[in-house]
Amino acid sequence: MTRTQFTDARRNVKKQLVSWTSIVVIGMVALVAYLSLVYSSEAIRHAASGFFDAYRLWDLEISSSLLLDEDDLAAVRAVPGVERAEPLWTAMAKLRDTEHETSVAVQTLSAEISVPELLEGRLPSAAGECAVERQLQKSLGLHVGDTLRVENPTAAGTALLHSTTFTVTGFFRHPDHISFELPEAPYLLVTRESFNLEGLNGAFMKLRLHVKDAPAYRYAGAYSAAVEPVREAVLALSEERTGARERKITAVYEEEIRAGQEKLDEAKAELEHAEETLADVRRQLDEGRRELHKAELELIAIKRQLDEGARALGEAEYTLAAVPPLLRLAAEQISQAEMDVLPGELTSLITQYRDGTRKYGEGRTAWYTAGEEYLDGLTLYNANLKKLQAGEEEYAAGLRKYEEGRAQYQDGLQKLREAQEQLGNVGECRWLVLDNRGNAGYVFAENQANGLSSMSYTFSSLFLVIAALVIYATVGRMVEEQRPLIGTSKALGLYNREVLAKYLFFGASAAVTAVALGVALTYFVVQRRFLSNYEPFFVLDSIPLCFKPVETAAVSLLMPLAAVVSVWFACAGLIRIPAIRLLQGEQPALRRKSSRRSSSRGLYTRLIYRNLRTDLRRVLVTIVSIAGCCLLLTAGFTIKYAIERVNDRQFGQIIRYQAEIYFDPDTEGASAGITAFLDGKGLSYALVGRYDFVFRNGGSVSSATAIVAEPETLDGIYGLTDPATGEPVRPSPAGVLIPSRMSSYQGLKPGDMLLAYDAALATHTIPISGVFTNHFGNLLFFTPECYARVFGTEAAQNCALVKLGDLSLESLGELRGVDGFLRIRDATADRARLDSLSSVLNAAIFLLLGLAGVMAYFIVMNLSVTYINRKTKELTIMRINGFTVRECVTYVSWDLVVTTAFGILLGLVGGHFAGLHALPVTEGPYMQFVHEPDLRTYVYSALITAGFSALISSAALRRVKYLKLSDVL
Amino acid sequence: MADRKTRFTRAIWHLTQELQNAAALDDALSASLEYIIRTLPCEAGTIWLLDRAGSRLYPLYNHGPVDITGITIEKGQGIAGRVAQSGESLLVADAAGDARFSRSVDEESGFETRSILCVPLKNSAETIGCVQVINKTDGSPFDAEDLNLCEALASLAAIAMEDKGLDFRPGAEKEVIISLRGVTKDFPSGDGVSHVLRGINLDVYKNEFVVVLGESGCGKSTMVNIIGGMDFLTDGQLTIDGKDFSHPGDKELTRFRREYLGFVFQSYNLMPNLTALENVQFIADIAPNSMPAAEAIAKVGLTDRAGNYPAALSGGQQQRVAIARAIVKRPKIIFADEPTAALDYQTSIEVLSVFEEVKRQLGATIMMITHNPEIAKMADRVIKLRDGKVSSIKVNLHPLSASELVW
Repeated sequence: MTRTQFTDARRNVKKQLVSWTSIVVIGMVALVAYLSLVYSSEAIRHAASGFFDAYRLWDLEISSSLLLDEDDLAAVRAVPGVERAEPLWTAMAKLRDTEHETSVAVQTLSAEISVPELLEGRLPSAAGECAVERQLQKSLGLHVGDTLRVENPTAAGTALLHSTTFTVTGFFRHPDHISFELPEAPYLLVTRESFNLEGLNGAFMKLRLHVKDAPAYRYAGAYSAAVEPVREAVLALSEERTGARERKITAVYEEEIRAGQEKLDEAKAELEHAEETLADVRRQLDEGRRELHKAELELIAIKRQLDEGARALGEAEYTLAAVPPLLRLAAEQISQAEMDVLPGELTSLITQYRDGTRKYGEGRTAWYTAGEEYLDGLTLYNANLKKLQAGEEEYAAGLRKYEEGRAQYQDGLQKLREAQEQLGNVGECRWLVLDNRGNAGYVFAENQANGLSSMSYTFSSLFLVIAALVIYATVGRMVEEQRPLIGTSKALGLYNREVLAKYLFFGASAAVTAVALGVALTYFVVQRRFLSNYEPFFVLDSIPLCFKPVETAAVSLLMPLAAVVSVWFACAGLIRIPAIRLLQGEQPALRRKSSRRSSSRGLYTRLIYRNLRTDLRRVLVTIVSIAGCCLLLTAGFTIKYAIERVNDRQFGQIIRYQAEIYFDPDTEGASAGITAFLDGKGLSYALVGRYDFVFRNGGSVSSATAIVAEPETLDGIYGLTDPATGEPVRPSPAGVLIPSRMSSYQGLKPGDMLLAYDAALATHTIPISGVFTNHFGNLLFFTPECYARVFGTEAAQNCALVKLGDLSLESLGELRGVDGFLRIRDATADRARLDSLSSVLNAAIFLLLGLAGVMAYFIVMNLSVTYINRKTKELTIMRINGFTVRECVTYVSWDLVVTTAFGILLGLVGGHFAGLHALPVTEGPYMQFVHEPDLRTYVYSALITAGFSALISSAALRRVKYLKLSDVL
Repeated sequence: MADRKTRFTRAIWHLTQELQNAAALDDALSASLEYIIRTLPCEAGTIWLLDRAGSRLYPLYNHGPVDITGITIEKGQGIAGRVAQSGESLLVADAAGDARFSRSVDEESGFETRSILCVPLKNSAETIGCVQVINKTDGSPFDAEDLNLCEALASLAAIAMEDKGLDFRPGAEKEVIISLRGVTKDFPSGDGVSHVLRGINLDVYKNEFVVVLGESGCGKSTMVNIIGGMDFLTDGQLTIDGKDFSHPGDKELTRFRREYLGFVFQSYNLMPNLTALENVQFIADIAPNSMPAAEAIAKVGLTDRAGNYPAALSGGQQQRVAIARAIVKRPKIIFADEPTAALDYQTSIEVLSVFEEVKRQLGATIMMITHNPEIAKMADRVIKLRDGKVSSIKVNLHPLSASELVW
């Protein structure tokens, strides 16, 4: 290109500044669309990785079904590649004294691995102190100095915490929890002393590792390459350590059993001896009781005799009392008679009296003696009675002791049996070795980033194609308009390549400018805007901006290349036309010699058909361009409605209850109290067992919630349907019913097996019997029979799923008075999360709408103008011949209508599939949007595209009104 | 003075040769008048001829901004009438102050007559007309020397007419279909205004074949655009078939084009996606009184190619389709813009023959723009434009048929 040619090319840009700018804008939009997704996704990964690195998140985490001990720690530390390892004591607990039950993970402070960032106050330094994770502090409104009480969790009968009351010392954020959005228990960090170290016999719950030379950036293959060998080595070690741990635990149990058995044997001997002693005492007591009874009888007899003696003495005394007066009377009579000799009668009387008096005296003496004897006997009796009573009490006490001893013996025996049972159940010790994918936050960040990345490839390639079309359309229009100029240039002796260079410069300069502006706009503006949408999901203060040099370089080359190719396609055909033909103006392309006279189509129809045929390239580009815009809209609306409908589907058709009432199944009468209350309110409900568990499928570990219920109880509570047929499905005793998203995301199908872990990390194999349509969450439906068979334990009902009808959630507040009631959860609470997601995506839809509009504007405008330019002569002739503006507009509009209609049809189909392709990318592991087509998607997309097209075309068609008829002469 | 004499002598010499060598006398006469006007020089001139009855003067050739084609003057009336009657030359140095001259300013065109010179055309027997020139371009009045020149030239012309036998037969009075009065057209040009038409005064008559000649940029296309309803005049008046189209609305113009006009273009401008017949049918469909498309095609002799697309037709055939398209709605006026410019001689003759037939059969008025002066020979009148004005109007006393044209 000579200097003058360059000047011409440069001035051509200046002259065609609007077209050039349109290429810049569209190219920039396409580039921004791609790079902003790429930058943002990588920014999320980098921010997350930076956060993990700053707080030294573990690289590997080991849990064991039989806890871990110092030997394990030492062995792990000795594994090649392990930089450091730290033990961790952790226990799930429930906070008391809060309005709602709050689950927390009480965990020991880490020194070097997963170090918390202190945000306020200080970290705990003594038992009974705790630091609280920021989100828990916010939700409970805690302050430093507050007191928290937790229920003491136990494991194998051992209380895990040394203290259950903690004073809050500060607040922190933790690298384990990078997102607020995850339904994980927040941490209470405590010192080791707060755990029952003695009861745990030095064992701890987890081991966390750092791998030597693991790269700081955790979302790349290099990091996995560094960590994976260590993980494999740890897994290999687990073979050895789990066996040792099993043996150690078994030995401990066996020793405990042996010691317990000895104690029981001793206790048994003692009991037997006590039993014999008690029997002797019993016999003695019975003998004493008999003797006492005999003495009692004798005493009663004596008493009776004494009473009779007293009565006889009384009578004698009475009789004797009558004698003296008689004697005195006799004496008086004798004195009166002066009788020296006493009469015989008197003498007899006196003798009798004397005898009587003597006898009375003797009787009285005897009576007194008997009375004294009786009293002595009575005293002895009472003394013996007391002795007997004391003996009875001693016996009763001895008997009680015996019974207690016996009970203790029975208890000991039971414990021994339990210990023996536990020993039998100790079974297999397993290690669960998790890499960072076992951290929900790590996966969350990765999923968010991957979602953006996937979208970048889905949409950006589309944008790139559309950008190329814009360039094609714009340059095509320009070269059409400059047809005579090109002809002149060629006539003047310029080579095709020299003519082409001018337009290549046009396209390439626009593309390069678009790249420069796009990269700057992406980096400084759009990326920031994208990330600001994601920042609320993370605990990070902000997500730093990211630059991806390789991708940037790739698109920086691709964009001008696309421009060059588009320009070449737009110009190549025209430039090859001989100069004279270019100078003569456009020649009709139709070469058919004659038409079919028999055609039944009207003249207009034929004309439109032929117009389309003869200008096939423009028609195809127009159709593809309109299809692209419509595709964007259709894909956008597909996603929008797919998300919006989740709420109605999930919380209307699938989850048909509104409240979940949790209660303690171990509290007697809890279930009855809850059901009585619900029955009293006339509410329909289902009692289910609801338990969380972890399962492994392939290499990934996921959590799920088991709903355990008889199938018929779920009728009306859950709408479970087969995703393929739409027919109702029910959980089966043969296996678990899994949600459709789990099926698609994990690649699981009926007949497959899941490896589930219970709370003790014991593994259980769960057969999958069916799949049900579900959009949110990871609920798995078991029949009680299936659950019991899988987990080896009955699933007690602990939750009532309640259809509230017209009642509000608050109307269930009285349930707090029911024993065993734990909490009420709004079953529709997740609506808000979906609404939030929906609003974010709505913004994305508007962005797509905007982009589609801008692209439609530039493409359809250029193509319409090109078309009308081509038709200018025809239209002018028509106008000159008396066709009205309306008739001329109608004439050219038909072409636009047909191309728009085809474009819309193509766009609807393409958008449908693009949307369906994009949906799984956006869904994530626990969410499945509604994939069924929504009529609104197609109606709105078609109408908006048609509207765009009509609006833009009408602007282009205004040229018809202002055609300069004299130009044709 | 010597220069003037030399110029005048040279003019007489040239005119003598022109008149002697002329194949067509009317052409020679018009050339003579132009020579006179150029030599004096003056603004306007007319050759008036008396009809066979010798009672009225008719303009044979007119040079100047005012179209006087339709004007006749009674012998004895006005300057020309008096000269024709008296056979004496007449010089009016100050028209405004001369009582014999009723109007010094033409009301329609605004043309002001300052000075006038009129000499009789006399053959050996009688006065057959007169030659009239108006206004010297330098503003000075005509003088005796000018009069001598004109008389000399008029004598030469009269001799030639007598020798060659000019057969002047003015037809019946024609009905004007297009009338332009003082039509101007200005275009913005840079910071100023470009005056493309500077006051056109012209009448076109029904069933007349008018050829418009002129150099590039003289305003002929602009004039035809305005007449054809494709452009708007800046000032002046345009009347077509008695209706004022000076400032028409778009709807009115569209209807006018739809019902009155047919167009034939240099580059054919056929709809490439329609066959020959369909191109014609396309227009026939919208015209209220159209003839069958096949008939129009037949009239241009293309029945056997009616089903062909334009791309499969030769240039001449395409132009014939364009003519068929123009005539299918039975237009009153057909405009043809350089219809043969892109065609070879033979094809041009074919196309021109079609125009000839159309005029004859349909009675349409044809207004054709061309650069080819040979084509002007088949016109009833030839209108020359120069610098945005009607430069001259020549009546062809004996229009040639297309087949007679040679170039």
